[in-house]
Amino acid sequence: MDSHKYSRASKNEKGKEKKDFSNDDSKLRRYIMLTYYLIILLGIPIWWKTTTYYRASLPFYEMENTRYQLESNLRFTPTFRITGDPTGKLTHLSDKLINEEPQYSFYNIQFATSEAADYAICLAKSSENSWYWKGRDLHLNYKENFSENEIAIMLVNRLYEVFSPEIMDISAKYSRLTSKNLPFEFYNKRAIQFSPQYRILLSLFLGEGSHDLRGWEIESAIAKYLQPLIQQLSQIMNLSVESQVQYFVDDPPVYFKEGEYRTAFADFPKVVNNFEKYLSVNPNVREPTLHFVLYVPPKEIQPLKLEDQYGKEVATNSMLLPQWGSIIITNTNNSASNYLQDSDMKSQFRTISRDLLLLLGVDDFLSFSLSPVVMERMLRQRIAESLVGTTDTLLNLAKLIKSIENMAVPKEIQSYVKEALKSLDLAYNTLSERKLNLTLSHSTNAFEKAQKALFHSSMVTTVYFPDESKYGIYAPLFAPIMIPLILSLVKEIRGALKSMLGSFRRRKASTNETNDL
Amino acid sequence: MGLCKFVLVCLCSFFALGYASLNEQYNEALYLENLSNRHTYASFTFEIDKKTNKENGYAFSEPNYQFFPLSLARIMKDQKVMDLHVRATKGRWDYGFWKQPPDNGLQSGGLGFEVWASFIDDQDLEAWYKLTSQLSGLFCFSSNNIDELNTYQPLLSFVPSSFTSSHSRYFASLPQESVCTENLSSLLKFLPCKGEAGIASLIDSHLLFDTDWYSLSIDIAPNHPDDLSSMKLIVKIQTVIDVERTNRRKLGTKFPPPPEFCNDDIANDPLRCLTATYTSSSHTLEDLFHKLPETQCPLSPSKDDILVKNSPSLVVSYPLEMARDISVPVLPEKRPESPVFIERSLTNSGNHWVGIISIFTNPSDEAYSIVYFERLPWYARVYLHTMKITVNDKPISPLEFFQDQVYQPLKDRKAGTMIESRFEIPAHSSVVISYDIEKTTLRLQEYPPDANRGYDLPPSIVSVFGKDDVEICQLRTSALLMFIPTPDFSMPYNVIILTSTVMALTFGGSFNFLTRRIVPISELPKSQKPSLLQRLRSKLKRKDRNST
Repeated sequence: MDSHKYSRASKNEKGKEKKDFSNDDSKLRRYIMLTYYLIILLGIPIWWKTTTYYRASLPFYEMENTRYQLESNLRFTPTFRITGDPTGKLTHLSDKLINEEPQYSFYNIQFATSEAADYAICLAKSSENSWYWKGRDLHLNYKENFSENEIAIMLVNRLYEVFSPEIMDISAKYSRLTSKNLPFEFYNKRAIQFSPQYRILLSLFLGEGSHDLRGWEIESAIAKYLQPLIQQLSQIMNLSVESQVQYFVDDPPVYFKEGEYRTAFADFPKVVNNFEKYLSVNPNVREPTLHFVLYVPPKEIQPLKLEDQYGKEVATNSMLLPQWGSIIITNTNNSASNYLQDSDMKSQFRTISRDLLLLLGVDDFLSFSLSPVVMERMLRQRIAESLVGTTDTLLNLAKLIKSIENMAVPKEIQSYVKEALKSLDLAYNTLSERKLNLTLSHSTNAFEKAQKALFHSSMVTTVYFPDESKYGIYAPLFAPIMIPLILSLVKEIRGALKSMLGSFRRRKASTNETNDL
Repeated sequence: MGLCKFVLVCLCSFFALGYASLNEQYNEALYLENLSNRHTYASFTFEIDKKTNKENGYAFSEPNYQFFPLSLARIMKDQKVMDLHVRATKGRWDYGFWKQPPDNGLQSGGLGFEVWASFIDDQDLEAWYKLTSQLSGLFCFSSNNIDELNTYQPLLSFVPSSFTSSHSRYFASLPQESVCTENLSSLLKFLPCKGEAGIASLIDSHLLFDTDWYSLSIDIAPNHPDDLSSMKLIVKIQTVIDVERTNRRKLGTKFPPPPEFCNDDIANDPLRCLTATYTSSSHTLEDLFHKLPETQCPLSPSKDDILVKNSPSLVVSYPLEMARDISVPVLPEKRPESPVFIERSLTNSGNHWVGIISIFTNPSDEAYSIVYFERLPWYARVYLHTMKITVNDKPISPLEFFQDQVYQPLKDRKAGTMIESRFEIPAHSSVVISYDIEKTTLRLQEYPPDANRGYDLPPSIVSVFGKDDVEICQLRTSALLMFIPTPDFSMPYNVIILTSTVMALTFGGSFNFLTRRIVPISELPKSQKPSLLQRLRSKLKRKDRNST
């Protein structure tokens, strides 16, 4: 069966002249085995090197830490100054009251006496309890017979009333990250996802033939009705406006009711799908498109009215589609004009402006000229959204790279992540210094870098090599080689143990013999 | 030549009128001409002009569009493209029977897809790749296959009159790409009237893709050289209809053989022989398209949309309402010949060496200057020293023959070969250019999924220049199919397993030889303990003895 046994046997049988030779023999055998094992051991790093993918090391700790960074650093502190409060008593009272209320960690309304406060509160006596904004001044009217304490309570309540939509919105965005189940009732599903830039696509859709309409005075309409709003919004986001005209568009299903044509809300999704095929695909994925469609039905079905799910006429004759845009039915009153005049589109553009703001996440606004208060509110919302988005992206990236071990991670991703983390730190720094505009630019930068890292094209090309084919290839090589090697090793160890035991016994026996002697 | 110019003048005068708003114009025209008594050439042309009022402005920096497809404009703007050309062609233009190609070959490409563009500024390949990948989304073709291997920068061909060295220019062709209905429908989507009205309503994708030759093309270029404020988009759908075959289609599912294949005994059986043969001297629109246009496209200003070639010097225009009465006559006169004929083929179909031979024939009385643009993939290794040229069977050295030559040598897995040569072909003579190609074995992952089909060598492009260096014609050869030794694709696994087995066997043998001692039987000691086998054997023997 093996030489070992034979050699041992020969040793025992043939006497002492064979002993030296068999010792040499087993030594040589050990050397041979050692060489084989050495080759295998040396081969392992080479095999490892040639079969692994390059994975740049990522700052996983910092990436996962962004969650806690967000929790501790995302804090907005709008400050208020109460005018007409020379003693500071009211300020003190209100401050005490507002601090007694449970507050969100990320939103802290503060009262200040200095002129540097963000907003001012003007109190006035009136027959009615009411409030309105005038510039940066919040005017609060209260009934005459209020005591100072009651005024303070009223003031704090009003502030909550004014700021609650914003706080709720930020809270919803924030909780997207912190809690596992989304608080759906708060989450603004209407607003489009955060992006540093948006593209506004205005489309004129003309129904199938049979009217003389060819185009619209879009240039002057944009300049008159939309440009002022976009100008204001441009301080906090990049908006590009484009327009197109589509002819021969499929018409929605209509029915006749009370002297006019109607189309139902329920049918409109079909129509939107029909329209979608005419809308150009934006090649730039980092620039979400907001669609605003003016649909002019053919003459035969004019005037066409949109009807909501309760069978009631929709006042604006338009439908807002969450995160997409809106479609506005435009009746031309059978005018024979070739052009849709800009004056005819005034109400439509009012709807577009409203819907644009709604899609950008402003729910309550009083006028289309954005007051600094609304602008700052948007600014805060966008900061919160970009910071949460960055954190979310980085967390997902860390999770993804950790979970898929076969994925190659190029150096570029490493540099993007590092830049994102750096910008994130800068954003938190400027946020604590209450420089909101600067914060937004840093947080946007961080968001873009994080997105670039997560959506890097190399992330898709994960090497897929299933385990079973790995074994299928390795097994024919390793099985026949490893089995004799392992068996001989086991035998060698057993032999060594046995000889050790034998020599031990012999020694014991010899000591016994000497003892006996 | 003169005739073609006449047609061009005719077309131009049509397009001069226009419907202007937002500085845009839209025009469409259908041109019909019989090439032979059974082949009709039909060309649908759609033109959209876009202008900007801004001085020295770029037409596509405007954000508002009426007729011009916004998606195309956006691509042009994003990558700052000066001119863009896409050609999708299937079939071979028969220079022998159909004579000169339409528009002198400047509006149709070779087999498969061809894309070329020049950029306003000097742009690197990155912009080109972005452009082509965006195009692939719009036209539904896999132009994302365009990479460094099939992108070339031609210096002698495709040179527009406005060419200056600061514009970078790229060209790529995909001969293996097939032109299909989705290309057509995406093309029709760019048109303001889509396929709903006007001449486009005549296009039936089933009929179009059943014709002998068809070509879809898109050209966006400045109206005047170097004036980017006024750009023109030309969408062209061209086809050569085999009228007889198209009419056999009308019979529904029955496809009886044409009369020349009918015996006398079945000739009168309508089920077994095509009795309604097509011997008409003129074709109607119904013959060609199986339908009549529905309504005029209200956006096109011209009313006379259909142009029919009635005699070699006369093109008659008809309004769309008269479509029922239009007949396209078969012209007794022959069409003008192509100035030069080229034939390119592969020689020697071995597994290692092949050759390419191109034969240029000039039957005319005039000498022409020719630019021969040849592109070959890297795995077809070209050896320029094997290039042999004969003019009228007399060998001539390439150095003497070529006036100008641009040669981009191949780089393994990086770039293909590009040979651009300018030479003069004398009157009444033929030039034969041949050279050898060595085939390369590819790496396993480099083989395409349909490796056994062969590898397309793109059609070479031949620009013919007349006097004053004016490009008078552009011809294309047919694409070639080259075979490369292709392994069985289970090979790597077989190799791995075989190698493993051999390794395991040699290892087992050598390991045993090295570690075992071989002892002669005579020296074999009696073991203290008999082995299991010996014990069994002795037991059996004992039993045997006991039983006996």
